[in-house]
Amino acid sequence: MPIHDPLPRTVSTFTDDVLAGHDAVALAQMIRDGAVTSVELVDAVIARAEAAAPLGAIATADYERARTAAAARPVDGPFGGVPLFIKDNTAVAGLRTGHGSEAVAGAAPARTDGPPTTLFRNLGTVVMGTTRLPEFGLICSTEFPDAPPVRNPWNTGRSAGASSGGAGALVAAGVTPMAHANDGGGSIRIPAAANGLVGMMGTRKRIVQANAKVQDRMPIDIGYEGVLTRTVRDQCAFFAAAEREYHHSPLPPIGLVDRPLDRPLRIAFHRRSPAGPVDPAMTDAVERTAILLESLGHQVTEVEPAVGNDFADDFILYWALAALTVERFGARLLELDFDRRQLTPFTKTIARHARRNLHRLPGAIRRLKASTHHVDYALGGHDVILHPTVGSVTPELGWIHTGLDFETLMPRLLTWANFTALYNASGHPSMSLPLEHDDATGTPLGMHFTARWGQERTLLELGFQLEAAQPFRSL
Amino acid sequence: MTGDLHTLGALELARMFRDHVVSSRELTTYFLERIDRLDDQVNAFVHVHERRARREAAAKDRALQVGGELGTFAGVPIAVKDTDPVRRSRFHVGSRALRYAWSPIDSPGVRRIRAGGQVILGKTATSELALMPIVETDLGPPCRNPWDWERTPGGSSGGAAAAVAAGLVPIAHATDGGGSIRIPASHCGLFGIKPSRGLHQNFYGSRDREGMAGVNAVTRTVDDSAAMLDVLAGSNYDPRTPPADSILAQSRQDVPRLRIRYTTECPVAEVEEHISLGVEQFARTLEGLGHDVEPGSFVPLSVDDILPIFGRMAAGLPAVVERWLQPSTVWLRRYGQQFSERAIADRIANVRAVVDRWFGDVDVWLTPTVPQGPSRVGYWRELSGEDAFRSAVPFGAFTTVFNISGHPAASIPAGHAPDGAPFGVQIVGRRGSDATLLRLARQLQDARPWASLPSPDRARNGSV
Repeated sequence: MPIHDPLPRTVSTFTDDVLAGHDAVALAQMIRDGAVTSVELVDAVIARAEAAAPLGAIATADYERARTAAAARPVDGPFGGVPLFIKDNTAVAGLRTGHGSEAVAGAAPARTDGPPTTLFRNLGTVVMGTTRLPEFGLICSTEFPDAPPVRNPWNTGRSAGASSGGAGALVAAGVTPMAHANDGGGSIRIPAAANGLVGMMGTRKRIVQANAKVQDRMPIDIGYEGVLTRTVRDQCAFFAAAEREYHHSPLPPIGLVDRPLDRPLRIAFHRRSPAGPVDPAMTDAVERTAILLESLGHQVTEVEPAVGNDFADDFILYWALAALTVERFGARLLELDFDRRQLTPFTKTIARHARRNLHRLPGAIRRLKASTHHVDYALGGHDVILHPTVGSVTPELGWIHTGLDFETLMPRLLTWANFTALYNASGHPSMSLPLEHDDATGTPLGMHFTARWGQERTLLELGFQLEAAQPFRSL
Repeated sequence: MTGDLHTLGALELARMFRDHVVSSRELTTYFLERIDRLDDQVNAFVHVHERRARREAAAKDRALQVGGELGTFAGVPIAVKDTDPVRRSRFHVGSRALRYAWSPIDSPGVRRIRAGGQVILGKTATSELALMPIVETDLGPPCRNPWDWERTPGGSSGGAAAAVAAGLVPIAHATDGGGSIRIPASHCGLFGIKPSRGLHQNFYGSRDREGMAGVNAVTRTVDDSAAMLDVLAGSNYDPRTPPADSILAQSRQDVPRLRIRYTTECPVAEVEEHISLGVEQFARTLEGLGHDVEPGSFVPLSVDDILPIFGRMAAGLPAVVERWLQPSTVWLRRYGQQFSERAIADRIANVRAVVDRWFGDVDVWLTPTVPQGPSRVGYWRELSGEDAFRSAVPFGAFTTVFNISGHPAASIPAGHAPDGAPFGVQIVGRRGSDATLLRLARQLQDARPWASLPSPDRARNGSV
């Protein structure tokens, strides 16, 4: 799909308005100090969102209600008054949940907030609307067969990643400092890598689940909620606040991380992906990161991936099962007006893949469950595992979209999104940091860190340290 | 050949086979003869594949002439625990309910053992569904401890441990879902390690989704156990690739100075005096070897935290007809049925968190393996189902938590009770530090060598 519109190469909405380049923690503090009001921030976000229109990141704008909420609400909560967008697969009362699909176009607005939206409201944020995702978040680029894609603000000819692509583009372009995202195979971490942001998924069940009833019944819960931010500090504040709202008792508390790491870690890194080829640009980048870590006093050793190459087949099958479930039971599951005929070719063909391979599913589930044990074992002698977040530089728009069928698209997906899904299956906390940059395309490259079960604290402390040692680029 | 092949370790025998000192047929004949002569007393085997073993051994001898990759334990006899199906062999798992079961296939673990080049002599006895720390089934005579015929070799890998201790095989495959390698190793004066969760693939699939069962062997030497880990290691995704850096090679490196904490007590059971003295002696030995040793206390968990998890697992095991099960098994399955899958998942997560917190910042913990000596054969028969299982609990007091948490743990022979029965001490490492644990075990093996065969001065039976 060649791009004909006269688009600017980059889209940045950073200006010297009240938002400036502040992160969410800074804005919340400014509101508490009375330096700025929430309404002023909402108006600034609206202005910036208009400037960011070429990115196509917003699904539904809800500015009027946001303004009213910002004016009416007493400022409380750790992020009191800070504007934020929710991802369009999460119910926001009064808005239609789009799921990026034509199949639910005729649905009625949601009556109540979903659990993640409730969490964000309890944290004090002002919900500005929703961000786009590809159909049901099934692929890793926010593109559609016949709707405009979400563009990468660093290079508008390239993908913004997915499934939280809209959220990633908005935060990177400077519209809001933080946006809600969720991750079922890399959907927080891939947009974080593509847009030069910090994205983290917690340990399984660390953050409130989007749909606990369904997720707890699934053989493996691969859904994780979180946020995309420009600073490590915002992630720390979010995780500290989120665990006060919902604490899964077996996990050790994270607490507020407010200082960099002060001890050396044992860090393992690998260049090979357990699912697909890895670009030399990425292996070079991970080596530079390993050298950076060594220079900070960490003990870095090269290892092999925790699982072998067949992992991808199992995960794709489990993933396809989600598509099949949507195709078959979409109407009942989403309680929406659901039109199966409107599904994109990719969703239909991946559902077919699941139907044809149902006999392989029990074995796949068993092996996927054991991935927790293998990652545990790989982390036995190390505190953190490092590898690139994705296997190649951010692809051009048109390379990956839901108009393609499964057989065409899957090999393409596996050249890019070939690292992250392991941790959705294993449940270990993982984070992508924008430590590297590809000068040829002008896009950021993400580095992926995974820590032991429940040890988000280690990741956040390491993130702080790396951010200080090699500050992240911003548009 | 000389008449003392049964005193040697499996790796040593594999080396002799490779150097053409002894043929696989000679080894097989030697051990089959010992089984024939001694197993009537030990009752370690439930099935001996005599003709098939001789055929396999002949094939190994031919393969040695041809050359090529033979496997770590090429030509050496082994016995497989009856928890794993072996192709064209009976598969009873110690239960009358499964007495007609027969397997057309090898289990994934057995396939790996075959890839290691071993000759399978037969299958060793286990308790019903591998649940009890004794081997007294309704299928055959009770399995007996070669150090004292009146006592049990422990369980559930009791047949395996008794077979190695009696010199019927040089190494025996064993599995550990709650202490089933470590308890019989302790009772029979052998070495055994339950590896870290995730070191090998999940061999029991949907019957053990949480990966509690560690698979390895009971052996005379630390080397044999380390080499067996290499044979079994790998994920479900690369079953054929050997690990880049072999665990055996890693375990032969020098031991770094370790931080070790020890305890002689636990909240669930009373520890016999000679066993806590043994642990303290070991602590002093470790101190003498240059490690930092300090006292501590055991994981603060009660029986009610642990038992539901095993009950639920037992309830999920396939059994054809419930009235053919032993009373203790029936009780445990019924007990387990009252807990939901969700409740158990939360309990498991809780135990893991508690053990992780307890482990603290040390490298290794030292504890007794079993707080008591082996019980008398027949003692359990007189108890009701619930009483039998509840009296089994103290035997797993120090071992079961590490199956749930996934830490590697090994039992090392530590000495003998006043009445001659051997006992072991347990060392527990961080998840993934199996090689470190084996290094430490080797250091202890050198500092305090053990006799893995009953000796006339110690054993009540005299030498076997």
